[in-house]
Amino acid sequence: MNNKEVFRQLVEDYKDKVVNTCFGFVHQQEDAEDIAQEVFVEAWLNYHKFRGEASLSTWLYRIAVNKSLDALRKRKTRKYIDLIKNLLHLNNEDHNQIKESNLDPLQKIETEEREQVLINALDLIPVNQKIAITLAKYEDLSMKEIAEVMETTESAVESLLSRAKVSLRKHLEEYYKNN
Amino acid sequence: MNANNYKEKTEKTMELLEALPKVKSSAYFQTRVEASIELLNTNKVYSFNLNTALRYAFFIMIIVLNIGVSYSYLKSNNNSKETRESMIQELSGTFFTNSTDNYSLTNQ
Repeated sequence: MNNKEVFRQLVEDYKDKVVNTCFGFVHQQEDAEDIAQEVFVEAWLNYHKFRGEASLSTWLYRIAVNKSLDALRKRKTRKYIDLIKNLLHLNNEDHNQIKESNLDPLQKIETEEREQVLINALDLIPVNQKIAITLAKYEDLSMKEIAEVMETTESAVESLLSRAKVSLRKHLEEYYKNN
Repeated sequence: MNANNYKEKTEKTMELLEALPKVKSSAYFQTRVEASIELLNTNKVYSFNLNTALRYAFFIMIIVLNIGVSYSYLKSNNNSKETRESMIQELSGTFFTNSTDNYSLTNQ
């Protein structure tokens, strides 16, 4: 099996995880796929540097997190336009979203609005807390896996998750008090 | 606003943390990744050829210049040498001619 075939298999195996991880940060399908593409290109260019100390998935998650954070930094000025698009449901929430809903339309709209409020609050919490909670809630990674990705200890991850929830609650309460 | 109201809304929103929407890659995602890798490799080959070609062209130019300069130098040297040789021959010719004449005159 040559390099290209190995790489093709790698993309096939991990594309959904990488796209979903990036989506956890940027909350838009198209942007998530753009970033995921960059992740795989970087993996292709730097595969020779992969020492095998961590698993392949851990390595890819690390690249995905870094690329996503870079994209967020560049996107700062666009975030207000994105917020308006989301509130007006102008974003392309297409068939690739797996989540099913048995709610009636009114409840569905209410849920989507609360989701958007939660996503906005997620954007306000400190970066490390955001990384930990995104990997935990979007990718369902275990503490151990998150610790490997973030190159820290499990107890540090536990602390980050706990503080992330506290930060989220604080931002949400502030939002609901004022709205 | 009622204190319980916003706390209740907060908790209700926090519950969504356990059910965040997950996405999958689109149908053409794999194709676009492979295409971008292909493009990367093509560009690498292209830039390699251009750089190499320019490098070779530069060396060839240096060599040609050196040859040209050396040739001109040697040619100009040869010209000087030929000029000297012809001058020497002329002078020699004159000398021997004169010598012969003198001999003839002497032997008369």
